[in-house]
Amino acid sequence: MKDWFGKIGGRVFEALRTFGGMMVLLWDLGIALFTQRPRWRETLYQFHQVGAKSQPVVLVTGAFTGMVFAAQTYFQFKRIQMETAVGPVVSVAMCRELGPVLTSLMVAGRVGASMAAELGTMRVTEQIDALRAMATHPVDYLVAPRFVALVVSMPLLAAEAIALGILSGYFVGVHLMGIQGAYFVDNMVRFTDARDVWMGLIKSFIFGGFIALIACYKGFYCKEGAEGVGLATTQAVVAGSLTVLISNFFIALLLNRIIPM
Amino acid sequence: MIEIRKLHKSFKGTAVLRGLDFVIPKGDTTVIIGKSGCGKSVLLRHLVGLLKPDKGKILIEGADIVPLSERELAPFRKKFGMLFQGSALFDSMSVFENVAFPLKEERRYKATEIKDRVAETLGIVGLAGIESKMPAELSGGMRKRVALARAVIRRPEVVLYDEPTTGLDPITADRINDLIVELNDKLKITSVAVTHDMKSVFKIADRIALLDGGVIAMTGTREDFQNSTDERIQNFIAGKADESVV
Repeated sequence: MKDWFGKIGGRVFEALRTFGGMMVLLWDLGIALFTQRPRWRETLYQFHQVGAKSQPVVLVTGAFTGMVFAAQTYFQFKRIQMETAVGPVVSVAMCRELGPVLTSLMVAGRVGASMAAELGTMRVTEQIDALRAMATHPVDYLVAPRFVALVVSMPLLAAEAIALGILSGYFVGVHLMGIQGAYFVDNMVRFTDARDVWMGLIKSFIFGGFIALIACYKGFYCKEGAEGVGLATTQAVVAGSLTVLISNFFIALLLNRIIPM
Repeated sequence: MIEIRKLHKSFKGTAVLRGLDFVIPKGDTTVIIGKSGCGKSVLLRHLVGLLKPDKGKILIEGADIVPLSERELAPFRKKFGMLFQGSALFDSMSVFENVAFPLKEERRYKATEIKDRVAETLGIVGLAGIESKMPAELSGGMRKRVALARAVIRRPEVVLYDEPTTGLDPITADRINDLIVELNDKLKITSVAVTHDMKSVFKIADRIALLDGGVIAMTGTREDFQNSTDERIQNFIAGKADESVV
């Protein structure tokens, strides 16, 4: 029983320590972003790494999600003769949930893992200490460019996924399932508001911040050796993905209150 | 001048430094010797603020750096260059970008100036013309020399060497030792090295300090150490196992 309490206490303490560490990193990041000179070169490089290079995976995700979602909704709606509702359902779902969440999960896997592994390797090979010894603050040089690149790239990537998801949903609905194209588009435009799009973009912006912060933290404070880097990478992906999924619920509730109908 | 007062540092309950007092005079090469794991590198890392002590003071030109934050340490760190044990070159950057890094961070040098300074410094360490190579393409000795070029390119007042010859063959190690002596003569810098390579110690040191039991057990010149009758010192120099050296 005592052991059990000890283990729980240890886990709680570890979770609090991680949370505290992340808050300190966030504070340092704030100082780096608002008081230090911008590092355009490093930030542009990160845009290329996390934004441009993530496009193939995000586009494939968006396209196939839109396609399968259109097909599944068609099969269900056909039973109650509401096939023309497929357009708005696909569109609203892609904008509000599927686009931002699936894009973020893919980016958490691809970018989160690579950020944690890169920073973790820099840590264990003393490259981060070398930066510090040369009077360069590692948060300014390593974290701020990655954070900025990810929070700006994420809404753009999500927008691409949403657009391609809707287009491929249209293709499946109209060209494969035989829904009238005019009804598909007309209903989609009628039932999809700007707030649906805004909601998706705001969410992906916030998710981008979470993924960058978690990945950088895990890489920065990774344990020694190859095992430490591996563990940091895994933790960055798992924690990043779970944070996206859990926070999605609360952000959705909050945004529904903030953004008026 | 660097002054260390009553420095204490523990890791997970194990005391490594136990009230260490030490003064590093300006312009000399001070070598700190001691057994592996005795805290030499820990001490060196404290000098540039990479580690915070549990207790004690580190005075650089009279100013205590212990209470300073990471950002407040920057002006002090600019006075230092550091050669890391594993070189710590940025593996995603070329040799040129690595060596030029401290100058680029200063943001007051023109591109042509930086190019010339990198070429000159690589020339000093005997590696002229390898600017475009990546660290992965270099041997261990070449990496150490590139790291040395990066450490001194800003013409620092103090250079810290963490095990500068560890892992190198005797000839390359001797070349690194020659380079350290040559750089000190040319650039007139204060050097602090930690090592357990006695050949290196007797080649580069003006002053030697023995770190034992978390404190500086003895300081002196090369001659003082060579002529010492202290059994611990003689055993350490001869590389003989001795239970009295912790």
